[in-house]
Amino acid sequence: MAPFSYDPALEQAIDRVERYLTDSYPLSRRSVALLLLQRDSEISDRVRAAEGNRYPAVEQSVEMGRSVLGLRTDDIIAVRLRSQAAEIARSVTTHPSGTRVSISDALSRLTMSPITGLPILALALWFGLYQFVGFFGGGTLVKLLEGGLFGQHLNPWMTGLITRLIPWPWLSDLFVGDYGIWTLGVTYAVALIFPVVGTFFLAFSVLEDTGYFPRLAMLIDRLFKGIGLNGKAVIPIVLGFGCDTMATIVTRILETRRERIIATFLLSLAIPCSAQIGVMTALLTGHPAAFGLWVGIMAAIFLVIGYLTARLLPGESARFAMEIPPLRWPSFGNIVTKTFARMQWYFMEVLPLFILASVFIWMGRLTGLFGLTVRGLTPVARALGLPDATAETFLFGFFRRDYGAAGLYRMRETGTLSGNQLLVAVVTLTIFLPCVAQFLMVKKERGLKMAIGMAAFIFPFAIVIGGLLNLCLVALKLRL
Amino acid sequence: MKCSFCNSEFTEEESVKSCGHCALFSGCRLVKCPSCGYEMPQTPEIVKRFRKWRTRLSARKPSDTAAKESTGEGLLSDLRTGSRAEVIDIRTSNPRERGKLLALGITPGTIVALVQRVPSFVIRVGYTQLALDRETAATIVIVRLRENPERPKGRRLEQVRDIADAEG
Repeated sequence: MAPFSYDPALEQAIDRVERYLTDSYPLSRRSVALLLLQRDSEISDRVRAAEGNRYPAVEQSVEMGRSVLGLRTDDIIAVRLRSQAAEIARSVTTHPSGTRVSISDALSRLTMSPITGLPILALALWFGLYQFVGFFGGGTLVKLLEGGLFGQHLNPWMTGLITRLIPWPWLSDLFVGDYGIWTLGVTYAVALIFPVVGTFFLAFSVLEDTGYFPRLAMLIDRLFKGIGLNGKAVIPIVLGFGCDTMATIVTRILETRRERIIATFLLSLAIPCSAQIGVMTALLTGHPAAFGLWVGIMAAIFLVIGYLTARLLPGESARFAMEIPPLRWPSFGNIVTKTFARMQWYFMEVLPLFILASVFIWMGRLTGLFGLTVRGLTPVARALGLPDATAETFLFGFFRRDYGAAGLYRMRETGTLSGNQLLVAVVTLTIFLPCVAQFLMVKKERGLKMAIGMAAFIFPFAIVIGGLLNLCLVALKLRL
Repeated sequence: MKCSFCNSEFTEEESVKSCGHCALFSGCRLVKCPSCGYEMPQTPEIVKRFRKWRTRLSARKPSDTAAKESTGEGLLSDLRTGSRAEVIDIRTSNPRERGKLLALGITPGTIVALVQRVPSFVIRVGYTQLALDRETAATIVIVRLRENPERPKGRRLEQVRDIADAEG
């Protein structure tokens, strides 16, 4: 027995459809009939498969119901459900009288008006991303962990231990060499990535929990329409600044295939993840102009390529309609849980990849393949006006953009790179695919053809932009 | 265009005719008024474009006459900030759009209040706030409700108008 009834005409239609359903379903027959009358595609497919040659009769009864009710079937159901829900709500809630404007209401309005909303966004980015993630996470914490804990205590101890246990240098190199599993893989994952990604996800969870993201989506909807997306896409894009692989999965919230393709492509091309931002920012410290140019170039690539992709792919931007929840104080428990879950996910994904990369590099170096590939990439490095040694960083960059950038970091410390060269190398690496894991996720979500297509565009594009940038810097005689 | 000397109006072709046998015919940047013969500089292309753009923008603003009516059928996109309306229909050929709006609580008979128009439309339905883009707001057919005269239309309305003006 249904807990409440719809209007008689609809009830009749439901009865008629129900009578034709013979198979058993996980839902009640009444629910199945209702969904069929609303033309739910998933249920239609299920019923078609379950009923087999009896399906045409079901289909006919649905058609009949819809022809009696007209186009208003969905309205009737929505209105009835709503009034029933309101009825229940009325019986169990009381409303405060008066129209007092609360602080959270006022704040909510401030975040939504373009005049105050954009400065608030800038403040959130400045403190949340730049100060907290960039300086505190990427600076203070990394220095403590990498320079202090690993550099002075753990690494010398581990190197001593391994070289004592394994007397053959060719084998001990696998663990504690320049590119060893411990000295590169684990050190890098724990000392560099961990603090940067951790602080990013903490900041992200706080913003998420307050309900700020729907407001951001609303503010930025018009800009995103220009690149074939709508405001809703801020969620995967902002998450991409944390981890592009995770963000590629989150593109599922977008409604059309076209939007998902555009968002995935832009994530792969122009959004550096927090680990990358951390390393690249560290690389460019002391060159403020180069840092500014890097941000500007990446923003321009994001917008221009987004605009062109939107022109190239047929279809319209999906409409934007989103609920704006009230602003709330973030709950401590939520933040801790979410930050922890995300960091765990990230770590589980990144650490095996780093270890694998170390093993590959070790094998490559033993067999000489590594040297061969690096020699093959040397002309590319030269074309970009970079020293030959950077070819190696490009090879690592195929694994992960920041992995490559970490190699540049060592070169920077020995003073072999000028400001111009740093900028060219950083821009080229930022355009590279984020990492192998992200590539695999693109393959899983968008298909192999799309993944290969994107990679085939992105790598040459990165080199071309790097080359053009170098030419521009030379022609303008700029020294950064 | 209008002669800045005698105020008579004429088209570009008429002024070309009045140039007659002038030797500088195609090279000069002056326009001659066909009725008084006064020569004035041509309106630069960029100014023309700017004017066109302005008129287009002002056409996009909700027309005042439509907004002043307290009742009558219209679209949500033409509603004034702060006013309330009853939804009568969602006019879209896309069943998914329709389904989405219905699920968000925009059903025929619902009372909505427009909170802001820029940069996106924000409406209040009961205790829920929704953000919509202009295109979506233009699919929602409404009947305006008479505004409550006691309710002051505070600063917010002014603010939103200022933004619209600044853009125009």
